[in-house]
Amino acid sequence: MTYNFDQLRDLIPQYVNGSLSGKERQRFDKGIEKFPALRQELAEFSEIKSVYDEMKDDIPQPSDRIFRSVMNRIKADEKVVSISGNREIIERLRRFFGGIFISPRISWGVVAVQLAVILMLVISFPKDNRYTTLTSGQVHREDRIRINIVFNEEATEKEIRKILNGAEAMIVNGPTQEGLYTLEAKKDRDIDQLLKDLNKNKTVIFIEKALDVEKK
Amino acid sequence: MVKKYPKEVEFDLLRRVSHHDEIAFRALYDLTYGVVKFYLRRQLRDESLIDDVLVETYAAVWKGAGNFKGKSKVTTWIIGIARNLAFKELRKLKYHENIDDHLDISNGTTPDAEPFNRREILKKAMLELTTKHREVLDLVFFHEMTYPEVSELLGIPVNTVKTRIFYAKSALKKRFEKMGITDDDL
Repeated sequence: MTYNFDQLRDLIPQYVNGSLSGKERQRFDKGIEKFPALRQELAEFSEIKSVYDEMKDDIPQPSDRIFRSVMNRIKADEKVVSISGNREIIERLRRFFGGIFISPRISWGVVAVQLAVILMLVISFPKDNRYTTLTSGQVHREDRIRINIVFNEEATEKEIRKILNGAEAMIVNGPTQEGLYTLEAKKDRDIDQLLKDLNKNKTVIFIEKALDVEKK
Repeated sequence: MVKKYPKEVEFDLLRRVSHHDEIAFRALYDLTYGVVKFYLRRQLRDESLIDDVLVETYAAVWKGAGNFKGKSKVTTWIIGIARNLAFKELRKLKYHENIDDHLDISNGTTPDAEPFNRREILKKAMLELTTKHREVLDLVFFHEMTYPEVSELLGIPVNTVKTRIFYAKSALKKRFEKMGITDDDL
């Protein structure tokens, strides 16, 4: 294979740089004999090349100072990356939660969960309809009995409390102008015995079972 | 002188740099610093700016070592990084000449012909070339890149590289002719 003039001319830099293969160099040498213009081009490029060859003696030596600056720069960049990495995590979390509250689908999901929790509480807790008082402990509202009572005018709060605790009762009404209170006590107690016991107490000046007018 | 070394050495060092091996990074720096700085000196005049670009370049090599595709020599890749950063700095400083408008090197200055030294005149004339023509000469005859390598580095077609080379040579020739120096003076 032989090269034409243009092809040979393109090879001049590689020829003067000494990077042509053996065969290519031989072909080029033949081309020089064949094309006088190529010889002229080669001379011009060779001169340019010789100037560059001289410059190679002035190639700067590696600088320790620059290398230190490079390493400082790298370390500084890595710190920035680390900080911005943390910021990125925070930003991602912010976007994630922001997305949750912005997304209608997720918002409706949260509402549904809340509703389910409320329903569960309503269904499971107030089955026995109980409540607690200081005086009487647990009283079933549907299993109560009402007692009208009038305490001695001189009765102290301590004495009244003792009576209520003993009867496992609580005041649900009163006092009226006449000093009448209404108590509620457990129905399963022996009401007659309870009335008798209370009647014996000096603090109590009147006691009777109240008429059950309240609808159960 | 530029030391010749197998390109596998560069590849191996760069591969290690991609794993953040500082010893390999220092070795690669020592191996390539001279030619990279030489390239920058031919593009930028300000030494402190050259140093800044060198720092940026090698920091980019450290960070981007894993992105090297192996399509070119490692030195060519590093020079490419340095080139981009240098041009970025030049654009910032707004003194990068519009090289497309300066195909003719004649700018009115006459090289000192006394004592007559053809090589010195040639050196000065080369400095008066436009940046893009001097750059291709540097890359081909100093860095000893092939036309395709220069084409890849500069992002221009191979034919444009050839054209620039021959324009540069013609411009130098014209410079000599203007001074009345002919090839016969060789």
